[in-house]
Amino acid sequence: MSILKICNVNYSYDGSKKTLKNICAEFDKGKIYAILGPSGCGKTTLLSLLGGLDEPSDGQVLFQGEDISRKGLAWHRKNNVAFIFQSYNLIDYMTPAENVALTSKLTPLPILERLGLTKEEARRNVLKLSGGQQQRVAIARALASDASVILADEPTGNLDEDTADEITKILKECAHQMNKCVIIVTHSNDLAKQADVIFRLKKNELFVAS
Amino acid sequence: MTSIQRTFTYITRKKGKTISLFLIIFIVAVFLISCFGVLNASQKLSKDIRTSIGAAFYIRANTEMSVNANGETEIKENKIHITKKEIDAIMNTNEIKYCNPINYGFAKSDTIQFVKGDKHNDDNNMGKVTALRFSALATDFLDETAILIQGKHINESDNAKILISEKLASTNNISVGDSITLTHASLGEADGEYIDEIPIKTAYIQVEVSGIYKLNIKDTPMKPTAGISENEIYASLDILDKLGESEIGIYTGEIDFYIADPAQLNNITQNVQLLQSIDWSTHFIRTNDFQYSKIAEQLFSLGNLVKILLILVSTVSAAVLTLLLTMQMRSRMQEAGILLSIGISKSQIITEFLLQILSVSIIALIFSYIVSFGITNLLAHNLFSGLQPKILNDETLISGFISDFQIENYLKLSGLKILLIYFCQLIVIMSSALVSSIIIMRLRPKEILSKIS
Repeated sequence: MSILKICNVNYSYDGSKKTLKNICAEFDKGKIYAILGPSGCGKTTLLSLLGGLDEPSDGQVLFQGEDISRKGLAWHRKNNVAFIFQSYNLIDYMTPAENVALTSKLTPLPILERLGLTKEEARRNVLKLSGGQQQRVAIARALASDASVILADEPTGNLDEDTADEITKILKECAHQMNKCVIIVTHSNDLAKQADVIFRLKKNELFVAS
Repeated sequence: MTSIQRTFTYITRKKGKTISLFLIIFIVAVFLISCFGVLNASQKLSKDIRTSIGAAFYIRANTEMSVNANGETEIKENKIHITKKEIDAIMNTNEIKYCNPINYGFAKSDTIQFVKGDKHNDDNNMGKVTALRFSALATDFLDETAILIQGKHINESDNAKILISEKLASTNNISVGDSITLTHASLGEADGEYIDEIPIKTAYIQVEVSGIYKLNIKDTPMKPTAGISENEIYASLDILDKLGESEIGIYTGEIDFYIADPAQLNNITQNVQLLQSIDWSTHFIRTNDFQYSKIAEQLFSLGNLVKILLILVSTVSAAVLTLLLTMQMRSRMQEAGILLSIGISKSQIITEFLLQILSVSIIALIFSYIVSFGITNLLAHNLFSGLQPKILNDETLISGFISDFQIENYLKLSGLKILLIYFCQLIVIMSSALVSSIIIMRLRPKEILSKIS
């Protein structure tokens, strides 16, 4: 059984024009998925629906076969999914270790070190880190939560090429070595090429591209 | 990371925001407590003044002026003649708190050397006796020309008690509690000398020194010994009766009546003047409101001003606080979005934000409690510095009036009042915080995240 499934989902902001039409897709553990599409096509909206940040107008989002609205969207966000954002979205008055501790009771240092941050960097204010380091902290926070699904919204959008490659490598490791389901929303073909499955969102509908 | 840990982290790391919130709450709290302190003081003082020596009226005898054969003006001071029965009639018909009849006379003692005056000799070695029911109500004590420094004032239950001056006491080595034998005397003048008109002594009384007073004025020179202020003996009424210088129940000096409410003074004196038993052709009434009615009005105006100020400042500070908190909440939209994305519910996030505001508020209120005392004292000393209300009650009639007025006692708000003020302030702060958190409550998680990205 797929870990995350989306069935006949429709979504519109104002009730008239549909942003997403009859979207159906299944996502499995151990794989990395890319959802490609031009800006404004509804990629982030789809990611929000999968992550329980919003509710579909019609249809269902199922986690391990159960509608995520049954236990509540906050419960789904807390236990099943973890987000990685293009703008990192770290809490600016905290250190990397404290940001990671937001989602986990375990000591945050090992996971930060695994992602390449030193002990000293882990205790600095997050704003004093480079973009790549901040994105590593965001990934560490997602991994520390122990969620099965990682939802990444343009995770390399703000990074230079080398750092973007490193982050992509980490995300692949998350899927293939840590057996997470990683869903990446992007408009970058290069990043999408790294995925096991590529979806394309076109005219508000979702197609499997490869 | 628990909510409390996050609250502590926010307060300690976001110093600018914490300090600005702290300062606003602190300043408003100091202002409120100080204003309530001043308001409390003005209300209590106003009330005390209305129930203190609000006013007095004195029944005195007319003074007769005539021109003698040599063309010189002669002034004859008549004695009043009012009996206890008439006093009782006045006391029964009106709202009079205390009556203080006064008789005047002179006394000598073999064991007392009076302060020497003009043409002093052994014969005129005497002092003036002011016999009264309440020495604390004597004009000299009310206007603080004389201050009781040791012992107790004379009151209506006392017999054979006197007050003497500090100088007379030290000259004769007399202390409070000592006994002295007094005899009658009368000051007269013969051949350019001051004499005692009662050469043969028949009346004696042993009296006890109840208190010692200090004079705040310097006497004018060229007075006979009996006219020297430091030789004045304040005595209980029975002393002059026993020395044969007055009759029991008949008062020939003056009669002072003290009332609580100055507003009633005119009505009361009008009613008194209706009493037929007093010969009003030879007596007159003088009134004195001690300016307390004016002070009470000023205090009332001050109280009203403080109330208006309180309403104004409370409204403005609530608006400023709401604005500041709205700005702070808006700037925390990203944080709210991040916390939402990790599964913390909106209500939990808002509770956490409120907890942070509450923590800062409590610290600010604690500091304001300490600082407001100093500020209130400063304000009150400036506002009420000239005010010395003489609270008239049985206690002050014995101890005197001076030590009673301490503005700090009026400023003190009761613990319950302070708690109530802080509680109301916390409600306003938390309401402002709730109103400002509407911007987060109203938005859906996706909208918050799209705003922050």
